[in-house]
Amino acid sequence: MSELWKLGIMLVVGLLVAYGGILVSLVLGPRRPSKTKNYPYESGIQIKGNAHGKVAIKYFLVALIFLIFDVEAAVLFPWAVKVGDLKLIAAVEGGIFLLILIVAYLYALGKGAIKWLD
Amino acid sequence: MVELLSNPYVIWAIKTLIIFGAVMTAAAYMVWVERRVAAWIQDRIGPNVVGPFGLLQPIADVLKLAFKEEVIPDRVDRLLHFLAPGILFAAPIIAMAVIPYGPGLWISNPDFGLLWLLAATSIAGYGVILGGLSSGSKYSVLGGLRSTSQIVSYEIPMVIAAIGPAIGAGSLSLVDIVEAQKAMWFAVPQFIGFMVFLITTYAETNRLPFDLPEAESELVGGYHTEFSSLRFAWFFAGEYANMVIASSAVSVLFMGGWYGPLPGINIFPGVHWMILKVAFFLFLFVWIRWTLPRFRFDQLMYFSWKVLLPLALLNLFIATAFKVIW
Amino acid sequence: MTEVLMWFFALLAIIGAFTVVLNPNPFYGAMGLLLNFLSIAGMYMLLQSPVLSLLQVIVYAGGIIVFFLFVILLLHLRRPLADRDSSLKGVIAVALAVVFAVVGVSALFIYPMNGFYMAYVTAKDIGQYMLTDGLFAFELSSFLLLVGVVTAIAIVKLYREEEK
Repeated sequence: MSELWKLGIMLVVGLLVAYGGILVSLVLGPRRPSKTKNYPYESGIQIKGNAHGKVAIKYFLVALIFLIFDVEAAVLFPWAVKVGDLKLIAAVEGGIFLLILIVAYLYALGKGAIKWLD
Repeated sequence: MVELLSNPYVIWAIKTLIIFGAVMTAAAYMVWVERRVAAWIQDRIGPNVVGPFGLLQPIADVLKLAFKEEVIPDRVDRLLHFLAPGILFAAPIIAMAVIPYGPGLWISNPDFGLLWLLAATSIAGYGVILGGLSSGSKYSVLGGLRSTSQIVSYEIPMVIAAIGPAIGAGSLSLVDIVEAQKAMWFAVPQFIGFMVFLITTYAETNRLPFDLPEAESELVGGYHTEFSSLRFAWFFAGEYANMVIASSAVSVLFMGGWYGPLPGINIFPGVHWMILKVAFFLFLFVWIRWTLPRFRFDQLMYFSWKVLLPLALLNLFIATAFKVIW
Repeated sequence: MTEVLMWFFALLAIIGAFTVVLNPNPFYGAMGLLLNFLSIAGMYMLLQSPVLSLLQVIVYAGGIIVFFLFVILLLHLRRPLADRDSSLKGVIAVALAVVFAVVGVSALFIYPMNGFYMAYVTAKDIGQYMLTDGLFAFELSSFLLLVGVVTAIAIVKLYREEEK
């Protein structure tokens, strides 16, 4: 049995345990809905407006910068396993890659992209 | 009988059951440990009624929650509300498939184990995000939003710190990574990476001092305000299962897995070292929770982007230099 | 078994893609895209390229969808997105879909597939290529990410000025 099949089995087991449990509990528990019980909990005061209010743009910027560094980190994994084989060549080539990214990081920092309080 | 026990499929099934059972038991009993240690730190007694020393408390809790009513408020998005807790609970089970607990004691040893672990972690975040967004309550949405920013911000230093052991071992297989630490733990040359990874696991599991997504004094329950019954139990148990996986990951990646601290006293490599290390990190989780106050949100973001990320990059340079010179 | 799973993932990917286009709720659209990305990761896995598959999960499923959820929240999209009265957009969309379909089908004829068998690709293989033959592309990708950061900050700056 190859390693991939073992992983596949664990994937299915995980999903079965998690969602099977929820389905079983749906059967086990009582079900007595009422109007007030089905209000979303907002400290008992009258609910106003929609739950999804406007979101500040700084969250958006954090998500964008996250995306860029996520791609960067993903690309570095195949590089990382070759450092031991190629030694200095890999170190220099990876260093150039990282240096360009550090420029990007410093630029974002300098432009106040990670500034949270105004 | 002997034939049955030498069948590789049977051996694999037994190993899988042992690891699955051990991780789930550890996760369940962490709830008890946490309450006892919390009580001890605060000079109280803690749960001591159900069974000897209150040891049956976790079982009682799960049974109680399973038999509770599933309250699904009107504004809830029913499909996403159903999916969210399952993702958070399934993720640690999926992640445990690649973690080696002792020599030969692992479910699977693929040559991409580290990536599998990180992928499972990044999917686990969806449980929290969807939980917040599907609830239709302002507290939940705020909690979900905060947690999303927190999880993505701390995922970057975590992933970059995890590249360090990959450089050191020259492989993404977690078994190879442990074997590469036979002579010296990666925590010694890559101490910075070790600290960064350890800190980020607290944020990824939403534990204090990074528990803003569910800060009870501000957001009631945060993303799980509108969850009840077993769906709440999955969020709750998922957090503890994720803690067990995170502790195992730190032990495997930086603390030499089943190898002892010094090369000289490596006579007894084995699963006991792994158990000791995981237990220590789990205790650390609880200890820190009852010692440190919560971060403010801007401090949280600054800490990740301005402190942890540069340190993780520095660790990358150190790991590379160490590997090239060695 | 591999073939059955391949068809299963292909079906899931198509369901996900249709959800993105047809479901009026933007959250469901994002989830459809997530389903699509995850099934494609599963297909990579079956095509003996697990590293690519997991990078797909980490970057696309773990990164890009999270980003989309932020955008949905940011733009306050609760009502259906599409104003379906714009016929020009529809014509362009259909034309593009036809072009993609033609390219995709012709690729099948240029590179005929003999079953699903391919060589197993490890992280070291990818690293070897990245640091030798593919070195220029590797360094260029870093530069591309730098451009991405600059663009992102510029767009946000425009948005902020507009708000004032």
